[in-house]
Amino acid sequence: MISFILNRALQIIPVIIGVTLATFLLAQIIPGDPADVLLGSMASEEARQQLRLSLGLNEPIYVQYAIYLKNLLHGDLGQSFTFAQPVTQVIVERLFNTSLLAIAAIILASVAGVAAGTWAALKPGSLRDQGLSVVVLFFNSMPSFWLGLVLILTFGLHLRLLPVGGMQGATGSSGIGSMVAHMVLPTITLAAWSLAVIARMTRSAILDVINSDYIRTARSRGVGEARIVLRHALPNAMPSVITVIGMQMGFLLSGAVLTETVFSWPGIGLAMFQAISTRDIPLIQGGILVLAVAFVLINFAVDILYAYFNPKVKLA
Amino acid sequence: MSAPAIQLKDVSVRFPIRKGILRRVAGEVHAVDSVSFDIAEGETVGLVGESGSGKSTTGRALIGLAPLAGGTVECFGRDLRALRQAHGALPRMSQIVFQDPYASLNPRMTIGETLKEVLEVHELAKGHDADQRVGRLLDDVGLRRDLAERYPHALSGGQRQRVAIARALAIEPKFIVLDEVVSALDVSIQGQIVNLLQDLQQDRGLTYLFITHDLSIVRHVSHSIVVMYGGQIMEKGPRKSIFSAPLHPYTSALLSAVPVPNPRIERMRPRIDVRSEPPDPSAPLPGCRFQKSCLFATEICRTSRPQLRSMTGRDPDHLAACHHMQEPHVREALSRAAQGAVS
Amino acid sequence: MMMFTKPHPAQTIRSSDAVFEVKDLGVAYGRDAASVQVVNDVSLSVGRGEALGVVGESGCGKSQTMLAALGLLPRGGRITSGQVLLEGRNLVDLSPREMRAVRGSGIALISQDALTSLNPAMTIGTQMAEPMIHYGGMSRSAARTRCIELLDLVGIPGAATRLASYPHELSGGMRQRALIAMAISANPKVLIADEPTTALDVTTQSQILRLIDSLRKELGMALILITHDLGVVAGVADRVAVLYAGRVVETAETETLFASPRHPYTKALLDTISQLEDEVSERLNPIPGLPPDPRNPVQGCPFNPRCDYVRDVCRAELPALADSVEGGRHPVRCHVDPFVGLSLTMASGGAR
Repeated sequence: MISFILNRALQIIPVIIGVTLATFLLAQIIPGDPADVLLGSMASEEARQQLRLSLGLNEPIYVQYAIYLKNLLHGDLGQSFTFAQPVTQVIVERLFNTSLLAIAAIILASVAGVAAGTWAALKPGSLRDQGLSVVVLFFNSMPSFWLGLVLILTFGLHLRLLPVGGMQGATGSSGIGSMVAHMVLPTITLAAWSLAVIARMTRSAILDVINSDYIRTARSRGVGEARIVLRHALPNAMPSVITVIGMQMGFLLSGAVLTETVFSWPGIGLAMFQAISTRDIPLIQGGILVLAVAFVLINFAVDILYAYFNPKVKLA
Repeated sequence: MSAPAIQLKDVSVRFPIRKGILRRVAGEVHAVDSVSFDIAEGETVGLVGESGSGKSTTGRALIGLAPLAGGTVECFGRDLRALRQAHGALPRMSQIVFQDPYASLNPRMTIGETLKEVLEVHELAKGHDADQRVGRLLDDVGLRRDLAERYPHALSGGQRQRVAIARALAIEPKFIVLDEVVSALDVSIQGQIVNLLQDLQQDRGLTYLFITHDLSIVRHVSHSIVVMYGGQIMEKGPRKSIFSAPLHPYTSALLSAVPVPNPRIERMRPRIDVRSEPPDPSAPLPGCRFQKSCLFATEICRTSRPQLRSMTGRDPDHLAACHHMQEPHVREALSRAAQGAVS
Repeated sequence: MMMFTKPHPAQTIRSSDAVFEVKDLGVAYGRDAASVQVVNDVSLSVGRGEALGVVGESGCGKSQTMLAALGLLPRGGRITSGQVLLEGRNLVDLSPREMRAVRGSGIALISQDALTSLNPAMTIGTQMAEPMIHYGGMSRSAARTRCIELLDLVGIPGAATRLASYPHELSGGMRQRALIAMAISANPKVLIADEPTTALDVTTQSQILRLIDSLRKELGMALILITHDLGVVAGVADRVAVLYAGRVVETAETETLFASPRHPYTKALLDTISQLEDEVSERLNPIPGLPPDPRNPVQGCPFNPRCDYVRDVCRAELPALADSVEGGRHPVRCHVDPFVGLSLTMASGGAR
């Protein structure tokens, strides 16, 4: 297992290098002179040259990349002019908020999705199974910002049960209850799509393995149907479910941008949204880099989980 | 006698085992180890052994599907490696048919399309001409011509195996490796396929290597037998001599394991048991490969590898690799087990 | 070497002695017009400690009969008629919960391919112990001790360390032994072995077969051995039932069946096997035609398109399974009954 983990960890390195190259090149191919963007079109030619020099923009491209990498290693992602702060600081402050939302959403999506899928698989073709298919279709065909708006209208404005936006820290005056209350709607919004996909995958993966010989063996020894599904079918269905969950985690990161915007959730997504509308290139670059690295690390974790549920992978 | 159609000399096949982070080669699986035997033209050699004995790998090596780590294979007087270098691929003289025709037939192509593709790829026939040839091939393997329109899933196991044989015949090979071709079929269908193969052999002078773990069928179809265990040949020789008086304890164990369809004999016959699991091909022991499973193994079996040799007073073509095969107590135990198996 | 004694001569087994009986069982898949009948009027019985061989080729309904008896027919399959009696109790009427309790301790199953029949994500020990702990009320340590005992019993060396192995870490023979240990773990009264040796190498086959047979005698279980291989039943079974196209076509004591088969199908199967041992140049005389397809049932006797002795009546009417000649001891489903009264030697030199 250790060698398996090390092996996968080594494979990450070239991917991360590729990601830095991609984010670096992103800034290069965006049309317009960064100096123009930073100083505005009214700035003097002198001031622009000054800035170009200080940003190293006159150097050959590979030197620029080397500088970029060097700064990156020092944790320096440049200066965000929208927030008038270093990009690193902007991201670090918001990374926690985004992670909180994303983790809550993936937990909700996985737990509820696997539970719903398993519940449907216990009686395929039954009313509950068909009901689940309808819900899955509904969640999958609905854009998340629209769902967010509907939830805000229903629970926030109409029923006045939950706050409609913003975020409250657990350490704030109103404590953990308020924090959770603020999280409910954005979490549901963010999780809905993934929940549906995970439920559908869990159902079909369980039905795939339920006809296996070893399920028949367990039944022939008097094991009850609930145990059959939970202890025999579900663990063997997990590898395909985990793969889907891993893919959903990547999707959640991009979904966070929209959800955070709808709910004014102070995370990286909201900051990215603002950065894009103001062409704050260093912040866009930094945001993409952090999201991409997070995506790679999540996949790494999924691989290890996958191996855990499938003893044969460890040998490969 | 003319030169044999197929000649294997000291053929070895090894596969690397990769380990660790850098996937470096940590060892080798000795799948086939110094195997030599001949197949006379128009005859069948039965290659017998259990899973992991190297029998299938030997068959693959014969038609160039497994790389040779050592030794030579001669097909109709020409060296396999030289042929390969000259042509880039193997010439169309040998073919292989596998156990599970369902897995080796494309489910999205009709039987006719599958056969036609072979003819066209090898530039043997095109268009209308190819359709004619497909029809004749189906005739040859005893299938109705209208089956050409069907997909593999619509055929029975026996019919699919006939299609696989037709596909092998399409390029008019002189030599066919038959790898467990009847093992998955029902008894009543096995007989039909065996008959078909023997008819084809007689009509076209085909040479077969018949690979199987089923001794009763190999006995019916083979002119001579090669018995493998742990990648090496334990015994080889004419069929009659091997079945009536096996020299090697492993052959004897194999024979006594085959159930006899006669309740009285089956319940009373003495057996020679195989005592342990097959040897680990990645860490071959010195000495005899069969040592751990053998009832008669002694010190010499653990230290020195027995050479194939004939037994005094017996058929000189009947060879076995056993240190103890001449000894009276071994001979007696083996012949008692053999008598049970024969009758 | 083992002694082969026969605990129950077949003719003395009346239905009251039978520990397990299948009566007039029918199994079908699908509904209405699309319905396919795969088992028809199958009746079998087996006494305590007795071994019954059920022989037939793929699609003959032998496995479907047993799955129906265990209440484990795949989705879409259903019992259309008949009874399954375990010690006189009709299992067909049981609720799913009651049926669950019968499986494992009443009737146990060993299936063909041990690799796919063991849960790949569970260690051998976990899956072995599961029913003991959760349904047998055993403590974990008691279950562990019992598992080691069982693995010892089926001849797995180093049983205690094997409990932590996953199925793919064992060899084919060891896996089959583990599967057998699991099947007998709740002391079943009837053990159904469905092609238990087909996926194994010859030498392992014979060892596994002898293991199952000795466990049957040791534990006093009734054994139903399902196979396509007449050689396999020859060494183990006391009686044999031959199935063709979802019906029993012949039953007899094993020695009688091999010495003087009465149904042309049984005879042809035996001929095929014995011919295989003949000289290389001789042509086989295999059963012509294709195996029966339950989707296209044959009018009359299902074997008539492949039969050498066919008469007009065979194409029109399904023969009954009956025996007026030997007082019911050797029933056969054949209008012609061509070998009746002939000795074996005369029969084999006859029409074929």
